[in-house]
Amino acid sequence: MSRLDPFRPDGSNRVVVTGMGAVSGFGLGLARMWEGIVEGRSAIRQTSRSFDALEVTRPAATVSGYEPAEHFSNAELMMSEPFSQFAQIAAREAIAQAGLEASHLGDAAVILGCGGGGEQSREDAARQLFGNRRPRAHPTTVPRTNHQAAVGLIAIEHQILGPGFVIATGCAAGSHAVAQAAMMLRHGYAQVALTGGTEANVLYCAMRAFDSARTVATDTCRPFSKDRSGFALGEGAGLLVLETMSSALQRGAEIIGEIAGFGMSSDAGDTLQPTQRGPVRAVKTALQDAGLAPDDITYVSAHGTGTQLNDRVETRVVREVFGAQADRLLISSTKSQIGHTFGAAGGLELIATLKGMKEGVVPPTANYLGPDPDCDLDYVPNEAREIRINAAVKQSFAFGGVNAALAVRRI
Amino acid sequence: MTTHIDADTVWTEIRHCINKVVPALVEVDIRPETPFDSLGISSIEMITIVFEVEELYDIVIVDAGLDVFQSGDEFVKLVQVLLDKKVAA
Repeated sequence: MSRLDPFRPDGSNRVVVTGMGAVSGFGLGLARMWEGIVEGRSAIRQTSRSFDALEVTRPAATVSGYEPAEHFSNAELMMSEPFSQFAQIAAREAIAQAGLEASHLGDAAVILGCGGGGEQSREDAARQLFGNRRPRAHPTTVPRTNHQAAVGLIAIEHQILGPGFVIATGCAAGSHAVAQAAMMLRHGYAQVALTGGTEANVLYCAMRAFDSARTVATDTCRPFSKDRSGFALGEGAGLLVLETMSSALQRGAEIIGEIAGFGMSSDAGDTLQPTQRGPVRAVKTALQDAGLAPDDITYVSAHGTGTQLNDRVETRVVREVFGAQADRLLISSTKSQIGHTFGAAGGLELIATLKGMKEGVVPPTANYLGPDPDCDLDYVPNEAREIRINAAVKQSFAFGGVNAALAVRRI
Repeated sequence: MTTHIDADTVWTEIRHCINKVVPALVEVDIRPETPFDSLGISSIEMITIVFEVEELYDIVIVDAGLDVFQSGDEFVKLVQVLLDKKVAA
């Protein structure tokens, strides 16, 4: 297979990335996110949410400087929640970067990941119905809460008539969505796809719920570090334009990287505690699908939540998959900088990976205090590292024991 | 039949609800006799306006199958009737 061969060895289409858009704790736009990443900053802050006299304060990375009215009309805002708005804003950026015109988008697919959907409206409805004991929920509750609202609104805005749906596998949803979109492009169901993930649930209920599950950090998110205590909530959207190599070459589009392979698996073990075998299977499948060997991989973008268990298991996963190569791998978790954005995580972290591949920079693991005996790899602590990345893996694991891994390659 | 809130007051309150749901109509001259369907109000916006009025007066319009008015003055009369019933109850 030559560098620009449009087909994979099995005759299916090669799939490349030609556009990326991001909304994150660092603000609107990929440029802001990338600047924060390479500078080793963290957007995580102590964040409070309240219900009447009840208040909860936990570390979270919320989208800074976001003024909805600057991006949407009042009528549009009435019908959409931040998770949809973030997706729309990221889609605009990705489409613009890809240089896609209306003629390219008509038959495109929109395949997004989203964990919770319209949590804000659900919380509002709960207050209205149970708290205030009113008989009716707000009429826009249903259209605002639907996971697929984000897909529908993007399709309406850009007049996209192709397949559109949402994958709701929680923390792995963004990566599952990218895998699904790539699968569809490979086999000709579309030539162009908007994919990635979106989430906005830094809310009172969500904070309380994750807190009860003993997963939220006390101070901040410190993946793979000693004294780590959990994740920090995050919000945002990471969307990518995927297209077949043929389409990209025909348009003369700039190719950012290739979605070379993907793997998916289930733990079949426990709904909360991750197994080793599930993620190993997903990552090995992704490498095999991409035709990559472990020593082809320069960088692993970890799921890296910062919980004691995830990071310990994920380290073992990397050791099992990469064997002796694990000690020369670079592995980091962008969640230390933009929080755990759940359904958006796969999209945003893949974007950080591809941007790093393009720029020759490996994103760091911020807030790292020092080694943990169970986590003995090179986690790129606190400072981004300049190095050429030829191929990388993005791994995402979700409650329920569902896993997705993506293998990307420089073109 | 006399109501405990006069029609002008009810209309003013309904107008506030319309403005809240459809800010684009704040500067539009809407009279009580103006048909709602001439204002370009979408179905979900109309449903939301009715919801706001229900919340404002603590009355039930939709569940009683009464959301069949065509203009502001019909809406005002409906609200007045419901408020009278509420007071009588």
